[in-house]
Amino acid sequence: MEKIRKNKKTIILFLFPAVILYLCFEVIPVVMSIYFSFNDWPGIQAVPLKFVGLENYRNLFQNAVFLKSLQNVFIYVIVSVVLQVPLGFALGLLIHHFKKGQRFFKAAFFIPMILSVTAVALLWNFIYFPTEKGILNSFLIKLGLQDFTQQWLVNPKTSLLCLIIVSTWTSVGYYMIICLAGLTSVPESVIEAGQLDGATGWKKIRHLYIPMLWDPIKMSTIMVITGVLKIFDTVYILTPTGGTNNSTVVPALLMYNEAYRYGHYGTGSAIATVIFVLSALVSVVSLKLMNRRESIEY
Amino acid sequence: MRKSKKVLSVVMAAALAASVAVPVFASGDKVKITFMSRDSGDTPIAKVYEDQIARFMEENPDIQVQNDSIYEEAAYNNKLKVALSTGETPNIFYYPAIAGLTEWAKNGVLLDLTDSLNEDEEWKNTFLDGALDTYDLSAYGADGIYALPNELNVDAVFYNKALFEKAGITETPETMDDLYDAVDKLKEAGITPFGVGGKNTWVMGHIFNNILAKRIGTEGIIQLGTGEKSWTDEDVVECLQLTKDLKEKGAFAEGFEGMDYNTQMNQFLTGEIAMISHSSPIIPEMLSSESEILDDISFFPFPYFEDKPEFKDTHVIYTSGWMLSGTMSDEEKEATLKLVKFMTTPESIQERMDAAMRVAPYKDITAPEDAPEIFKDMVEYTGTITKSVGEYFDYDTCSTLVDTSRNGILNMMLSESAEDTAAAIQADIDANRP
Amino acid sequence: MTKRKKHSVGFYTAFMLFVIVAVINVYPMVFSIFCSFKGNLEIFSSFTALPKRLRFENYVTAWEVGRIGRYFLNTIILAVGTLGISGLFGAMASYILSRFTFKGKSKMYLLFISGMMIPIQAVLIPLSYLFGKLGIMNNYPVLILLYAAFCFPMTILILTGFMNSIPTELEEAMVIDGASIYQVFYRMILPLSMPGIVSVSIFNFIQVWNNLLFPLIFISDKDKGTISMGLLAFFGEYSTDYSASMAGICLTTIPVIIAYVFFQDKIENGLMSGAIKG
Repeated sequence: MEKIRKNKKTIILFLFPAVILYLCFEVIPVVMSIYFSFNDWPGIQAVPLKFVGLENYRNLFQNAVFLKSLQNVFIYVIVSVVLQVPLGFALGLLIHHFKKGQRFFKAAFFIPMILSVTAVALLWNFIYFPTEKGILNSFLIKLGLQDFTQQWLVNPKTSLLCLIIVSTWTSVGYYMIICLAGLTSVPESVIEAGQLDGATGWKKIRHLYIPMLWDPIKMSTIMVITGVLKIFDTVYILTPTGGTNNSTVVPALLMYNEAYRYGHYGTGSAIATVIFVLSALVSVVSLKLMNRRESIEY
Repeated sequence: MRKSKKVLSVVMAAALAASVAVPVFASGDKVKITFMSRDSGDTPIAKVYEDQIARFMEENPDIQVQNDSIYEEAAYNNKLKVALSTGETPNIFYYPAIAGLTEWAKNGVLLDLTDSLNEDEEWKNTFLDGALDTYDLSAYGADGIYALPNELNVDAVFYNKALFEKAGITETPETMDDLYDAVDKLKEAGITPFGVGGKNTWVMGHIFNNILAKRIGTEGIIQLGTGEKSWTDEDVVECLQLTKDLKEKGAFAEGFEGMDYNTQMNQFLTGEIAMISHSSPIIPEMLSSESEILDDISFFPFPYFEDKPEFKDTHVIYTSGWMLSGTMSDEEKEATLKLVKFMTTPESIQERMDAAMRVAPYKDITAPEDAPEIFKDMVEYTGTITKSVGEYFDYDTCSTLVDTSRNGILNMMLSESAEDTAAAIQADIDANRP
Repeated sequence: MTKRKKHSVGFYTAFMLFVIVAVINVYPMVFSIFCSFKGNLEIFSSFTALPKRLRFENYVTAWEVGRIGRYFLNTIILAVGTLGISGLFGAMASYILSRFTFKGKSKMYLLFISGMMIPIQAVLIPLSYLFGKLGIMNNYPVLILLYAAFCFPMTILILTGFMNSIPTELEEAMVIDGASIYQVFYRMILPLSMPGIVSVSIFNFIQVWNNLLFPLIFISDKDKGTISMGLLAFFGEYSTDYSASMAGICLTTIPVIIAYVFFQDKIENGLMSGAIKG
């Protein structure tokens, strides 16, 4: 078996299609984009690239708006990880336990994922609508909580959180699906064994499900981190300008503006590279942290 | 790792080399040209364009026109910028800029239309006097005319006559003081005076632009764009302050900063608010809605300031134009000019006006007899304008100004002072103007 | 099954909350359906009101202007192609990355995973350099390969995770019985990772379904457009036809949700039981 597992021919044959496609369509464009980030280029074919070294990066890290966008996106990542993964897995476990009506629940959590951004934007605009006509505000008034009504997306104190809630709402279903898939790959006998031990409630979750689902949990965390660091759509549709006093500005929004609106293609590429590097760093660190926990668990 | 990088660079170089070596294939013997405007979908104007292009292709079987128009702004922007970056510039396209075109003009992305216009006097004469000067970029260092003006968006304040009457306003406001009066009266009658969708920052931006036009005039705005004037100058800061004051005077609905443009329009069309500041292309949009107050809608020019009578007749008109690719082969260029001329014959223009109520910068165009009153009034009003100015950032080569200033104005409405806003805008210009 | 009796009060509380959350999640669909029958002014007059009358004409507009029929089919073709390629090639690569040993394996794994960190707008211009100039615009097979390449990172992340949890003993037993490694992959690994493949395919499907940038840039032939391009037709500079847009969204989303609910169970159960029997 060991010999089979080292067979070069098999390895190359199985990896080749994925590697070649990945190389052509992702790696090469990314390398080109990194190369652009060291140049000054207005995004016009007729104008040659002008090599400027690290200048784009230097300007970026002196730019207050960009620094603010990094701060925002870090808050976004932390809150999202804390909210989305536990919520998604909790839903997954519940669905798994409740066989009746499973289809309905699956469909319910699938809807926010598949719904086009137009519908999502329209709906949440109405929910967060700034006057008492807004769904959320009118709800608060009905509950007698007039004092808590807000201009949700305008107030710099609430706007970022409002966006995080929308993101959570649209993506919790992903982690629920991963959880469900993880559960199906666990033999029933293991769960039955857990049941017989008399483990219930929180104990069961902690000592049976979390260790059992640790791999899917890790995957989901990486998905949240990488997804949020490059987040664009949700922010753009709800606060197209990055919010009051840049309260919701994120790097990808700046990247889009620089590259596609201002004709600063080099700067745009530099932002993309920063997103990429940050993503890699945060992912590696969180994987390290989670691997350590795993060893304690078992 | 080192080795894999080497391999990568080789692959990349090969891919790039291949990309240069492979010629672009033309389909058959036909000359293929692309037309890319913001008019698409199920709007009346888009349908007219489709028709006209189809007719053109019928008349010219050797030319194939591809209509790549996209209405949605971000999508349009993405597609256009990718095309420019790869050198696949659409033969005819639209871009909302004037000074911002300079870099493209200098680098041969855009065709200088001076010769083509001079060769065909008859064609040149169909344009309104002075209209062609809009896209003369010599002031920015690129000699030539780099776009054809195609539509005029004439700014005005649209208002609901019934609500004005209800509030006891008998005359439409002519000066800003009249407007402030009207605001007070409307408020007393419990009517929201002005509808503003702050979330779409251009709405506030347009109001500021009108104030700017009425206080510093065309010259002042151009000087602001070329850098002879600074945003921190007293008169510019004053304009910002006047914009902010409108909020203090209670002209806008509560929470307007977070509302979007659609909501504002809807409130106007359902008779909840008395006025919106908008421009002429909104007329057909309003008329095609199911609003019950259409008969009550009329408009008046943006009021002037009594202490600045010299700018009373300076009106805001946004020109939109067609740019032609500067990298066409002779064959393509001939076909493209043919299409442009086809679309700018008096008949074609009249056709677009009839079907879609667009005001255009051409001579001898009149509103059709059976057109709605409000549109006839608009055409008439446009005819009386002798001095006009566009958007302040159109005259500035700083590409970030549009966002910095508009976001700045919205932040100013919420908390910032006019002075700080002006300083922030000027700082951005200093950093980003080429 | 007497499982339920063992659940605590806490479980039921959690469950009730869960039902509420689920109902809230269905609301957007209901909201979209309402909007699709309203007029544009009506949508903004009251956010929650029922339509005054059912405007089926919105659906006619959506169907004709958004070319929903044609674009639905196009998008399905692209999605199915992408799922096939990314599922098969992704599973193959994941198998190697999960089970085999070779130098630089972990680096290759990280290289694949890092694809998830790339903002798509960043590679648009380099990609169109390669695409546009090589004359492969409007080309579905190439577009499918492009989509698949962008699906690999998540596919490989999830599938290697799944394959890691399949006990190695099963494989060894098959090999001892004389099966080749290809047979092991095809007959055992593939069926056993089906839950993973199905769930990752759901994600990939959504990526293809909602992707606007790729078709926008790489498809210029109107007849080859996708759903997301079709839905753009309702957006205007000064007005958005929300009614027709919502009708379009309902027309395209509802079949997908129904298909999801029924297919997923079928695929999962069918293939799983097949694997156990085989």
